[in-house]
Parts: sequence; C-alpha cells; structure tokens
Amino acid sequence: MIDNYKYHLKITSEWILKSFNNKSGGSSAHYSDFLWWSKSYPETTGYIITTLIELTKFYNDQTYYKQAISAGKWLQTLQNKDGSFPSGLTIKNKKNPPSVFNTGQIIDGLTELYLYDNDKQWLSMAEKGANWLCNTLNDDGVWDKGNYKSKFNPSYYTQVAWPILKVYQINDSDLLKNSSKMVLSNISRRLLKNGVIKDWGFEENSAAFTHTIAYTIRGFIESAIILDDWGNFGSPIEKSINKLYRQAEINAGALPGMYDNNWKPDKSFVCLTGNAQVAICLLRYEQIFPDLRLVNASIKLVDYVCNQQKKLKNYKLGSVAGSKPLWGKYMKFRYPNWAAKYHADSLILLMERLQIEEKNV
Amino acid sequence: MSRVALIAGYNKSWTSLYVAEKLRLQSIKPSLIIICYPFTKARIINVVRNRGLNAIKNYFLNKQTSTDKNLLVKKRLMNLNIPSPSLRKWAKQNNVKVVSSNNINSEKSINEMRRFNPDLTLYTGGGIIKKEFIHAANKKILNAHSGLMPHIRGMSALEWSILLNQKPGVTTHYIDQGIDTGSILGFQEVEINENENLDSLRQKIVLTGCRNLVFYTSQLLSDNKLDTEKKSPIGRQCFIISKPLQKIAELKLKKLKKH
Repeated sequence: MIDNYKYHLKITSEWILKSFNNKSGGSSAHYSDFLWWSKSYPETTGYIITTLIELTKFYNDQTYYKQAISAGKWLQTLQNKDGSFPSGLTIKNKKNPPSVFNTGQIIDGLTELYLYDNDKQWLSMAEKGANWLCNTLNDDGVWDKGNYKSKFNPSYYTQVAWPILKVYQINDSDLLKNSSKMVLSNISRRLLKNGVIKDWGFEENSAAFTHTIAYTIRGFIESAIILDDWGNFGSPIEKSINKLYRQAEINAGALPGMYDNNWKPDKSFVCLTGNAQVAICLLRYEQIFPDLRLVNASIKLVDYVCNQQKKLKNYKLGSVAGSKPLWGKYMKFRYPNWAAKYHADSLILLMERLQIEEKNV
Repeated sequence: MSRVALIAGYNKSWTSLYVAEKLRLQSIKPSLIIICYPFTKARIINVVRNRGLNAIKNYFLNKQTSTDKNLLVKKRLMNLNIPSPSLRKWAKQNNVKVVSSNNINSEKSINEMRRFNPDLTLYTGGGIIKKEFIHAANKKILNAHSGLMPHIRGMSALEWSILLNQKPGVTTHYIDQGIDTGSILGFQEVEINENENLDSLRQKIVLTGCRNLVFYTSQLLSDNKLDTEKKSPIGRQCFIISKPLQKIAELKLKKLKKH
C-alpha cells in the first residue's frame, strides 16, 4: 500500500512543480481544461513553500528547496512596506488590497523556509507580516480590514493565529503570542454544543466546506501544541474531530463536501481538498492522542483522493480537482494548487504514521 | 413451547443455517425466520465501496475460498448432511415460516415480529436493527459479536482486537439501540494457535459465535437465570479495516503467536 502512496506523492509533487512553470515566479492558483493555467496566487504559493520543504526532506532532493527559494523571492517582491501581503491572484499592473488570511498563509511558508536554511531574510519577511497582523487587530481581537468579506472574521482565522505563533516560536515575542491567543479565544467562544464552530465557512452563519472546517480545526490543533495549552485551544475541536472521523468512515472516505451548523451534510459533492485536510487533522490529532481508528479513517480519506487522481492524465496527471464530481460546489472544473498541496501533505503524514506502526510491531 | 425467531442477512447464509439446524437438534428450532435481502441500492453501494465488486460477484457464484470466514461452519453443516445453504429449503423441510424483507426495520418485519411475539430472537445478519424492531422483539435479540465488548465495537472486530491489544473472541449480548452496546451475557476468548493467520482465526470466531448463540439460547429458554452486564462503551466505534492496517494486524498476529 505504501508503494501506492509513494506513487501518488511523486505525481502530485511533480504537478506542484509544474504549477510554477509560468513567468511570474509563483504557483498558478489552478489549472482548468478551459483556461489552462491561471495567474499566480501568492497566498497558496506561500503555504506550498511548506510542502516544498517537506518534499525536500522526504526525497532528499534540492529541486524542491530551490523552487521554495524562488517562490520566497517572488513573494518578497509582493510584500507591502507595512508587512502585509495582497489578496487575490497576481494581475499585472494591479495592486490588490492587503489580506489578513493570505498574509497568514504566506508567513507559514516563510517560517518553514527560515527553519530549513536559516536565511534571515525569510524570518524578517515573516516577522514583518506577523507584526502587521498583530498591529492591525482591534482591541477586541478582531480585524476590521483585510478580510475576504467586509468585517467578517471567519473561524478559520485560527489558521492565521497558527502561523503568527510559528513566528513567536522563533522570536519569543509577547505581542505575537498574546495577539494569537486573543484571536483563538474569540473563535473558541463560537463553539456550539454539537461541536460545530460557528462561522467556520466563507460566509457568516452559513454552511461550510470541509476545506474551511479543516482550516479551523488545524489552526486550533497546531496553536494548542505551540502554546502547550490543549485545554483552552485544543479541546474546542474534540467533538468535531470525532464527528468527522465517523463521517469519514460511514461515507467510506467520500466525506460530504459541506456541512451546516447542525452537521447536516451536503452529499452532492466531495470537496477533495477538504478530504485531504481532514485526513491531516485526524492524523495530527492522533499524534497527540494515539488511536489507530483515526488512522483508519484518514486512510480512507486519502485513498478516496488517490482514486480520483488515478483517472487523470497529461497536464492533469498529479493534480487534484476541487470537487468530485468536477462540477461540484467547490472550485468547479478546476484543479487548485492547494488541493495538490494538501494531498501531498496528507500522503507524507500518512506514510510516516504507517511506517511507525510497522516498526512498532 | 418457546417461540424463537431467527433473523438472517440472506437465504444462503451458512451461519444462519448452522444456528437453525443446531437449535432444531436440541428441540428448540426457530418458528420464524426473517430473511433480509441484501439487494437494496444503499446496501449494494456500501458493499462495493468497502469490499469491491468482487464481493458481489462471489456472492452470486457462491464462491468458496480459503479465506472464507464460514469455512468451519460449512464443514460442520456438511457433517450434518447439509451440503449447500438454503434457509428457505431448510425452513420448508422443517415446517418453519419464512418471511422476506428488504429492510429489517420495515413495517412488514416489525408487524411480523409483533404478531409472532418471540421469547427470544437470534440475530445472524440483516443490517442494523432500530428501536421499533427491538421493541417488537420484546428487547430480547441475541447477537454474537466477534470482539471483546465494550472495548471493541463495530466492524472488523478481529483485526481491531489485535491492533488494539484486546483478546480475540466472541461476546454474546442482547442487541440494543447502540452498536454493540447491549447487555453482555458472556465473552469467550478464542485461542491463537501456532499456525494461525487472520483467516483461520476468523473462521474459529465465526464458529464459536454460532455455538454460543445456540448455547445461550438453550440456557435462557431453560429458565436458567443468567446474569447480564451493561457496560459503557470504551473508545471509538470500529469500522471496516483498511488494507494497510490489515497488513499490520497480520504482522502483529505473527508476533503474538511466537509468544
């Protein structure tokens, strides 16, 4: 089985490299049959750097590291003086407004690059970005500007708190720690009795794709680990982890693409990115609270995405569609670079976990 | 005379037939058999998703393989001169009523049980039973679960027993609304022998399960007071084992045998 995962990681990582084959220096947001490769996307290029570093270590191949540096340098040209990064895709002669979420994701990649090669330029960029994020928080711990939708701070902003904490881990800044904790505390107060964290979708009080549900959960898990405070920042996701575990199993890996606040599923599609991300959440959680049953569910989620990949050829070999079916609600008819990124991440994590279990026998 | 019902997952069920025949030999044969046909769309999709198309093919071909979990049961039945499974045929030969249903929780099944008013019902397959049927069966439905309850609940119980360091064996219990959460009559460990693999162990567990159903039925219907114990579930419900973890369970079993 691991050979199968190795194959899928190989084709996925090669596709990720292909996504950089444009003149800009960043990774194309997505590929589609109608419009081919899109413009580069700073946000996802940012956290794809993290995956490139992981691939460098996994394959012991500097090709990925070199691509990570190239991506880092491209992002450097985009960083605003105040430390923020722009929203949206990169369009020539157009300056996009700064984005809270995108800045967070880019910081994620920059810190990983710094941790790998100790080049201070990446840390400097990450610190500037993190400081901008913290300094633009209002007194209530909410961002008034730089949001996807007006003043709406979705719950998946835990995935902004987390990268800020990654920088904190390096420079020990109280500002970063306290700001992140404020953001996380605000979001943890949205926890409902059934384990849903309200507003974890793109829109206020709406159903959420598994993509943003997993963002929210992952942000909490990783932040709780860094802060060494599971009680406050990890426990809010316990119910949702168990719910998603059951859902993954009951649906044999074809996790419904969306859930509303009562956990009512939308089974008309599978959000493939979300599948991979939920697998990662289960595996990361399992690293803290070992239970092979969670690994079992992760395998089914990952296998489902692999099975969708098998059907793709040529330019799409190694890509992961937004949805299954292709016209499903998430990223219709497109193959996002972040879907490939999360699939690669889930494969690496899963293989490592299985290898540990085999060694322990 | 005691009123015993039997629920089966399909007409060609070896385990259901074994239990029915062994009960008959003890003069406590079931008087009603409900056969839940597996050919609902949802059930077929589920089987194909979890076990592949071959599972459906093998059912129709009545294919016997060395990995067949019912192998030991089949051998026992052959010794009793029952060479091929057919609950309907057995029922006809023994004057037992058979009812077919596409869903154990359908109005048809529930009404049938209410009319029959059983002293005891034995579950040998047919899907997850819900509250109304349980009540119609007077809350006395016996099941033989292939794992130690309350630790191992759900599917692929043998593999999970090995992976989660629990004794392999059979728990006989009453079915309630939860998944393998009902009151427990007893647990019988199944020994791991030198040349054992998962398939051979599973065959022993299936046979043990069938025997235990027969044993407890005769005990309960003989007015022997048997203690039951309701235990709270421990840990998550188990689901169908994935191939990578099944391989790890096999490796672990090899190591267990050496000790």
